[in-house]
Amino acid sequence: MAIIEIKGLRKSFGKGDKALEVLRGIDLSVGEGEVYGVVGLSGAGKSTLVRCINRLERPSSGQVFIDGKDVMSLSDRQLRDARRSMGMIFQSFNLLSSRTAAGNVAFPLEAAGVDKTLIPARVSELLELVGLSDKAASYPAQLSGGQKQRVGIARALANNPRILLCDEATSALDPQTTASILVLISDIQKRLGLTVVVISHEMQVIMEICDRVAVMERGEVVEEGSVVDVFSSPKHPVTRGFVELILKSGSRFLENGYAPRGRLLRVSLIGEGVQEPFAGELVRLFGLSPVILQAHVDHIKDTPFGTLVIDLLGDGGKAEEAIRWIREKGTAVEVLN
Amino acid sequence: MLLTAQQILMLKKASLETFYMVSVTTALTVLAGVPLGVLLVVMRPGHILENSWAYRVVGLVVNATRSVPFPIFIVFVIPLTRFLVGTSIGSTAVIVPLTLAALVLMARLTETCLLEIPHGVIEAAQSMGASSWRIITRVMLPEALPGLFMAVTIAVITLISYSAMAGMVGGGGLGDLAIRYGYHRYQTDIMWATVILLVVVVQLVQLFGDALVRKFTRR
Ligand SMILES: Nc1ncnc2c1ncn2[C@@H]1O[C@H](COP(=O)(O)OP(=O)(O)O)[C@@H](O)[C@H]1O
Ligand SMILES: [Mg+2]
Repeated sequence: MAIIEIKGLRKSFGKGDKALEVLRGIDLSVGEGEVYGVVGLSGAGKSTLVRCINRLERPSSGQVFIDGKDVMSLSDRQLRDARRSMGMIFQSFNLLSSRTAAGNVAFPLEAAGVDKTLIPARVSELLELVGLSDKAASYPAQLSGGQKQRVGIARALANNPRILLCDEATSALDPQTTASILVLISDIQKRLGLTVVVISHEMQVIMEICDRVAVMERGEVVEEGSVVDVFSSPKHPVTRGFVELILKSGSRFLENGYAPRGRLLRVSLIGEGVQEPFAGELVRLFGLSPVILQAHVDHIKDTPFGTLVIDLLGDGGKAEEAIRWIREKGTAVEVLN
Repeated sequence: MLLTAQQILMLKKASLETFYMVSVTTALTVLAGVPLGVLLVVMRPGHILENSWAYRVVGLVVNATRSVPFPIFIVFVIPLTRFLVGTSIGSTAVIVPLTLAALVLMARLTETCLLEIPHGVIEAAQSMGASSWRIITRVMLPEALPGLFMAVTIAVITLISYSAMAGMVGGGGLGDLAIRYGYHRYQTDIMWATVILLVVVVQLVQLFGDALVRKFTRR
C-alpha cells in the first residue's frame, strides 16, 4: 500500500485576481520503502508540494493521505504526532544557531516528550549514525555545510520517522559533499527501511538515489515513472532537457556543426546491456563502421546506464536494418539526423 | 570641582531614586515588553499563531503609545497611575508611565530581533512536531537572545534618560537634581556631577550589555 497518497492536490497563494496557482492538480503515490524523486526547474512548485505532505502548507483543495489518513482531517495534536513520523531536511539546514550539534539533535526528542535521562544516549547514537560523534559540542557556525546537513539528518531521524522529506537537501553543497550526503541518505534509507521523498532541481541527484521520479513543470506532474525508464526514454521536453543536461550530447553534435557521414544515433544501454559488445556487433552482423563520438557510463542508483553517440557509416539499407535490430533488442535508440 | 557634604548627600539620594525607578521599570518592561514583542511576531500573517485582527489592534496601541512624547505621556496616564499606585506623585508613581513607555519600545525591539530569525528555522521546528509554545520558548527566544540583550540595554539607557523627567511629578532622581540645582539654582558643579555620573552609568550599562551579547552570540 502506498504510504503517501496525493490526490488532486491544488494550492494557490493569494486571493482573487492576484491568486497564483502553484499546484494544479497533483496525483501521485509513494510506496513504503521507496525513494521517490521530484525534479523540476526552480519555481515549478516542488517545495510547495513537499510542504503539503507534512502540512507546513495548507492545500487549497485535494487530499494528502499518510498511511491512509487524510492530513487535513488531523487535529493540532494529531498533526504534531504525524509530523514526528516524518523527518524533514532543508537546503538551508535550518539548525538552531544557539544550540550545539547535540543540542539540535536533542530538540525533536524534547518536543516529543522523551524521558530526559534517555536523550543523551539517543543523541550520541544518532550523531554516530551520521558520522559526527566528534562534533557533538560544536555550534552550527563551526561546522561545514556537509556537517550541518548531517546534523539535520540526525535531527530528522531522532523520533524514528518512517518518512524522510528532503527539500533540495544537497543544493547548497559542493559536488563531493553532495555525493557523500546522498550516500548517507541512501545507506540510512536501506538500513532503516525509510520512505524518502527527494526534491531537487538536479537530475543527477535523482539518478543517484531514487527509484521513481515525477517531473514537475508549472504545478503539474508532466512525467512519472521508474528513474531508469524516464531517464532512458524521456517523453516530455522538460524531462529531455534534464536528461540532455546530464548527457551533454545528442543533438548538440549537430548544433555545433558536426556533419554526420552516416546515421547519427544515440543509444541508451541499461543494466547488462552496458556489457554487450555493441559496436562490434554492428560491424560483425551488418558490416557497418560505427564511429564512436561519445561513450558514457553512469549509474542510476545501482543500475549501470550507458550512452553511446555514434555516427553509423556504411550502406544505408544496412544501417536501417541495424537500427531495427537495436530496437528489437529493446534498447532505446534515437536517430538524431 | 569639590562638592560639599550636603551636595554629596543629595547626589546619593538622587542616585538611589534613579536606581529604584530604573531597576523596577526595567524588570517590568522586560516581563511585559518581551511577551508583547513575541505577540507582535507570532500573530503576523503566515506565522505560527496568525491572527491579523489582533495583530493590527496590538500594533495600533503600541504605535499610539510610542507617538506620545514622554512628558505628555506622564500627564496623560495620571488617572491610571492613581488607580494603580494610589497617587500620581513620587518615585513609585513615576514607575507607571516609565514602564508603559519603555515596554512598547521593548516590544518593538523584541519584534525586530525575532523577525531576524530565518523563517526556515521555525518551520523546521514545526516539521518536528513542536508546539507553538515550545517554538516560542525553545526556538525563537533562545535564537534571539543576543539581540534581546541588546534590546534590554537600549531600554535601560532610554529609561535612565526618561527617568530624568520624573521630577515633573515629584519622582526625584538624578535628572531632577540637575534641573533643580544645576539649572534653577545655578549650582553648576551639581549639574556637572550628575552629568558625569549619568555618562559613566550609561557607559557601564552599555559595556555590560555588549559583554552579554558577545557571550551569547554563536553565529
Ligand atoms: N508563501 C508563498 N506565497 C506566495 N507565493 C509563493 C509562496 N511560496 C511559494 N510561492 C510561489 O510558488 C511558486 C512555486 O514555488 P516553490 O514551490 O518554492 O517552487 P520550487 O520549490 O519548485 O522552486 C513560485 O512561483 C513561488 O514564488
Ligand atoms: Mg524549492
